[in-house]
Amino acid sequence: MTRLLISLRRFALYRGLLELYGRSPLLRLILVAIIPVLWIGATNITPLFQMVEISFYDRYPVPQGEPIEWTGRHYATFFERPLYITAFLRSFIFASLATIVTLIVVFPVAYYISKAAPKNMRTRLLLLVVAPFWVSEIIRSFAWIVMLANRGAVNSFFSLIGMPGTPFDLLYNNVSLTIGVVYLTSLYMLLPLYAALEKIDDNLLEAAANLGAPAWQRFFRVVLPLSREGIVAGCTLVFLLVIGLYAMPQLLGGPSNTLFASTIGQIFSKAGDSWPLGSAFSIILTGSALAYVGLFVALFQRKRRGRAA
Amino acid sequence: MTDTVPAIELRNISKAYGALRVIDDVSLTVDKGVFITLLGPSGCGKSTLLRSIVGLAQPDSGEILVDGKDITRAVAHNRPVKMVFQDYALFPHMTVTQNIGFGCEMQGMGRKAIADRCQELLDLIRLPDLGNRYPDALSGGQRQRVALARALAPDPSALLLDEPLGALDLKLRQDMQRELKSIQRRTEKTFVFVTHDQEEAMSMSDLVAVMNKGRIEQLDTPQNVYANPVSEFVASFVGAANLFPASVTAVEGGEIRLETAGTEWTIPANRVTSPHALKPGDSATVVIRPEALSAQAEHNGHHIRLCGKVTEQTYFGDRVHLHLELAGDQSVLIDARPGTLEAASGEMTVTCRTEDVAVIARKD
Amino acid sequence: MKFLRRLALPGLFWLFVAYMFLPLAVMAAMGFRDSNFVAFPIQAWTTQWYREVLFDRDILASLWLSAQVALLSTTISILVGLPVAFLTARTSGLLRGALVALVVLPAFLPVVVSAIALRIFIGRIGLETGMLAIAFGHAVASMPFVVVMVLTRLNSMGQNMADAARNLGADDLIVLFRIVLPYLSPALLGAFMFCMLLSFEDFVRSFFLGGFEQTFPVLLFSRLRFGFDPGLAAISTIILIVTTGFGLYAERFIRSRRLGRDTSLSATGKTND
Repeated sequence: MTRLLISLRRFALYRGLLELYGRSPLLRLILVAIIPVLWIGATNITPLFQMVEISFYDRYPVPQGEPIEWTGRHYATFFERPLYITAFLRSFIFASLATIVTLIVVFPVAYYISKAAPKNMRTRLLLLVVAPFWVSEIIRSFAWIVMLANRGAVNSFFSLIGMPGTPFDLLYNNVSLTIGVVYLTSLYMLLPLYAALEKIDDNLLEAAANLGAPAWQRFFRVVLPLSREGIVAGCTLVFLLVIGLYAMPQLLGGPSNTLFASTIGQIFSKAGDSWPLGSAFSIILTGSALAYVGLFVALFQRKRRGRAA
Repeated sequence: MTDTVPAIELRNISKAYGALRVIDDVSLTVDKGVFITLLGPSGCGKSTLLRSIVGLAQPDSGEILVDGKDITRAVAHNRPVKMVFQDYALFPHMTVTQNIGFGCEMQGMGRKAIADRCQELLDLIRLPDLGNRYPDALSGGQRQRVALARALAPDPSALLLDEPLGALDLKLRQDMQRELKSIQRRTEKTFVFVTHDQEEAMSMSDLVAVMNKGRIEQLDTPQNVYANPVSEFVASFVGAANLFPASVTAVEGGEIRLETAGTEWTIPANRVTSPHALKPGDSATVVIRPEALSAQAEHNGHHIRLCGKVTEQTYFGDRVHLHLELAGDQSVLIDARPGTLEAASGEMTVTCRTEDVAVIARKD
Repeated sequence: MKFLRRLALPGLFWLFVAYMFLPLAVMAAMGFRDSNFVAFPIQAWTTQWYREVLFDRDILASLWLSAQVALLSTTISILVGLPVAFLTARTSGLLRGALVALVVLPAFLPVVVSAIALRIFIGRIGLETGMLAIAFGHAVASMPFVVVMVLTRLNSMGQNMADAARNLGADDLIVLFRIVLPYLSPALLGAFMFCMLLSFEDFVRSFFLGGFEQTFPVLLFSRLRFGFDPGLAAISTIILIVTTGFGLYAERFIRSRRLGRDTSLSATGKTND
């Protein structure tokens, strides 16, 4: 490779091109920037603008020979139908709750691995917990179906110990969905939390204890403030993940408790002329989710005092 | 081409970043086989000057000639001058041999020739068996030597070294200074060395160029730079110096009379080391090196006498530093061998031969 | 605090481990059930399901499609992510912030929305749904992670290294192929494995951008909606073992190459499934 490139230098044209490139900062910039600008423009920006555009179309695709009719009626539909508003609110409430539950479940785990466990074991324990990170949403859902179904592992266990009233209806409700969702999100919460907690110097806790702070004070006044960044990052990740969930709610959740992302997906899976409605809903969901997360982050960032808590 | 063609010739190089003139009209001629050091504080433009020579920075104006050929507009990879970087910049994914051979490879040399050349250089830097190591398995001093070998391998017209010893500790640095100097003598290459460490500059170089604010203030042998500084900056940057503000009262018969802090000194006119002659009424600075002062009580016309109070005494083993406070808040540093000075704590008188001082014109 | 340290914290930890692994273990066991239904208790055991699913033509076809998509999307993602990282490394200040924000934008959109937006986009440019469309979607999703990983590695590379190579006679192409890319290779290999996994387990984008052919997660999803047999548990277990093994290997590989914490799979995380 190198030899080829060096022997190419025998040709004046190639040498000239190299010199031109070497001498012109502008040319360098253009050559480096051309693929990124095209790609980001095409994939990260254009689709969103197209979505906004289509959400104002009356119909899509526009029938041959007819002019485009612009309308805001798809946005109006959202506010007119209680069905959609309910699903929308349910999504936000569910995602917030799932985030809080995940945080509560994962915090002690992250704390144990990063602070309380024997030092030489910490990496191994982390690896153990992180191992199932790459198991997909669908397989995770299936595993919980096997667990919670009427003839699943849990019901089978209950009847084995002679509990009356089995089988229980454990699947297809908000509880089973929450169990599955937390099962999916906990690793996204664990990693930022672990990273933040690990950075806290053990000496700080000892210093606090030395100054006479009882355990609960050490936790609330030292550990919690210092792990704030990890908490904010983890919660942001998890919330955005849950608000966009599509498959798991259909596999584990109840039929009557549709979430907004599923609503959008279902609108889109139908005939093409429902795309404007789906686009409008997508924009409502994205805008509100980002605003909600932004507000959350801003609130926490504002509270931040100095580093030395 | 004869040997009288200089290895490097810089003509009126200037470069500015916005309003800041990093290099201000620098001209410099470096003859073949010379070890020259660019000495100056950080930010004086010495590194930018080096990077301009190898084409990694583009001067705004001026010409750069190497072996008599104008390379001002040549791209970096076509320049015959090689550089040793401050952080060595060894390629971590290549072995020592691959690192050293890289330059030869770029010149299209054959595999066998490259291998021979690499071994030759490994022998030169006295690491003949470490060719298969990776850089992160080397010590700091070894990396430094590999960086040197890598730059020498393609047989450059001149070698530029950008503070290459800065990362090493004191002991290693002194060893490397000797080693560098000996490699330079053996290879007979032109070395342009950049440092802010004046001792390093003095001990290694044939010539020292003292730089300040983008200009070369003085270019001379280390001895001359130390003994005959052309400016206050040079006097105080190279070695320690006691500076006395003075005004010229008379110039007559090969002597110059100056008035400083109420006393009058008469100094040989050949001790005026700044370029222009002084005339009565001019401001000047008298430079006295700390080691030129002694307690010997000789007192005649050829000596300067200073009286003051000892305020501080620092002992270094082989020498001792005394701080003397003169009348009018002037403080003087004296460097002497222990025992040659009374460990006086009160008043004390020191003298200095007038031919050991330097007088520099001061613009105000 | 002593009580917490000694008993409660380890207890919660191992409870969490059970929460993570028990369902997967139960699913793996279900694959051995000698019956046509997913149900407990398991009275008769068989390895028949594990053998059978490996000859299921639909499953094999879906795995083959998933593999093609993963390889194609990873290739695109790295080929585009590299110049994006180079460009980002050249910028600074506000411009850099804006560029980074645009680059990571897809990772912050709800997955459904991002998938649908791409569905509209490919419709507009006339790309059929199917393998290419899915690969394109996955490349869009994984590119930000390539950029972050490459950029982290790039930041640890002193500017002097490329300059030294240039000084020694290497032109820009040689600097790219002999210095920059080899230096980035650990990050590139890490990004490669990361993107493969990300693509392989993606459901939503494959679902909306796919045509008649289904990737493995889509196939599994559609089968799960119409009843299931222990065979699905068997194939899920096989896939789970393969991806987990691959993921752990990638993690270890990246750590061992001293890529730094920031580039490990864990720290970057992934935001979308």
